Amino acid sequence: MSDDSVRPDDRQPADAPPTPREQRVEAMARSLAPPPSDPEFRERLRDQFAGSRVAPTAPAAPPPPGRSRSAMLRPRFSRRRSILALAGALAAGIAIVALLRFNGRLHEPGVIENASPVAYDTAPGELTDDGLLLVDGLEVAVADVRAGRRRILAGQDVELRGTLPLELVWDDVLAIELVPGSRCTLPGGTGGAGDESATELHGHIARGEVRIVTGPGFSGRTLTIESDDASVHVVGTTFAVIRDSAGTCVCVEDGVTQIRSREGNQGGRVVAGRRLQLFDDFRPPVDSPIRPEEAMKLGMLRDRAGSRFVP
Amino acid sequence: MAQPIKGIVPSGGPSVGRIEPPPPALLEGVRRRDRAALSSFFDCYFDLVHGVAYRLTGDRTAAEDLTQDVFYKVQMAAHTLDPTRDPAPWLVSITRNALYDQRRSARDRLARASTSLDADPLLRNQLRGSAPSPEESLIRQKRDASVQAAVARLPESLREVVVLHTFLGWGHDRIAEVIGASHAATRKRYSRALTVLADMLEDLDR
Repeated sequence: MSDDSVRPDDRQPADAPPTPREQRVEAMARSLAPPPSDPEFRERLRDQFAGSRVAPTAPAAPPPPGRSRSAMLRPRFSRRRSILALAGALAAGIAIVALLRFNGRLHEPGVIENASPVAYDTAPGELTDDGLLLVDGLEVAVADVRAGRRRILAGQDVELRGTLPLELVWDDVLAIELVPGSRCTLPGGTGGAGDESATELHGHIARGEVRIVTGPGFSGRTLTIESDDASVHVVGTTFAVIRDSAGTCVCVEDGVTQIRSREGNQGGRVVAGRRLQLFDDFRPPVDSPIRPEEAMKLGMLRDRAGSRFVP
Repeated sequence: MAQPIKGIVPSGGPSVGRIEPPPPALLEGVRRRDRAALSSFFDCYFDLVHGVAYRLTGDRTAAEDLTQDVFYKVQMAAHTLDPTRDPAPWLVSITRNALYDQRRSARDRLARASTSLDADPLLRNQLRGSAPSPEESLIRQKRDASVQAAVARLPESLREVVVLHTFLGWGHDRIAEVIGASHAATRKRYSRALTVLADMLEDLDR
């Protein structure tokens, strides 16, 4: 046995020595069979963990229409338990909303409890409210986010549906523009929603495009945006990360970023006015000038954010 | 599937036993979120995390929820992993904290109000011995289910000491470090837990 194993003198001397009955119970506890685990759950979680795509368990919710429970990561509820859970959730939801209305504010279902609130708001301005977000798999109307009825927290998995981009702002720290169809984990500190003082921020892009500009509140922090095959590291800049079927690309409007493939054998610095494309199929990276339309979009984001960041 | 990594002692027996820490190079890979390293790390520690989660919650679904939350937190904090230290205490601390987070949530209060150990299909099968098996196997299954149910009924502070001591084989020094209690306190809790368990399992012990 190791040094950490149980020693005969581990029991507190003041305690009575274990009775034979307690010794038998101890032996039974030690000889319990290994807990059974569902191979499917294990495989799925391994795959997600290896791809840095594990999501926190979502608050109780029914499966989306047309989607079987087996397609979800957390499918194992009996019918009776589901009915009880749904009825209970409904009652609890009504009670919570009523309570918070009484307190003069609305609380948002679909947001992690106990999360320290690094919250993203929609940017005021040109965007319409007809978009729909999937936040950790739950549908949230952009209009509800804009109206403050829903918050979106750092560390949450967000997918933008609809036809218009959506700009999300974390105070004067970051402004992020999501392109429709994009899916990403919003940057924050470690541990999901993280905390506002976190200095090492992490986000993830699963697909699509995110454009990011850093503000004065970002000073002293670093940001890493990861995709399945690359990571982009920045200390303050205006840039876009595009994850498509070919690979991952970073376009830099201001400042400098560092992009690295997962294997660490490709990538490098990307300076203002340049774009670097990494490919999934092991083609060599392509370094080229930033495309005019991308530069224009990034410039617009920077200008919009700048007018808010600088009072 | 990732290959088993060198240095891991296969569980095989009733508990996960002691898991030798992976090589620092692998933990460095985890820090970099290298896919192969994450996969190996998962294979190395899944049984530990899931096992502790199951023993602490006494419920298969809750254990899977907890396991998922733990690996989510590990994923988010991977860059803070110290490659020179054994990750097991870190993982157990995350598991405890995640459990307390769940317990504090309204969702868990709801789930606990509507489920019991008897509702767990696996435990129910164990209790009923539904699968045809030799008598010895049936007796073992029933005994295990009763012991697990008794452990699950222990107060939280006693249960975690029992789980870490009997399931992981940890000594009280290490347990004390992880749960933030004194060595004497963990020993006291363990002794108290054995007494309570013996009372609960009186019928089984005859």
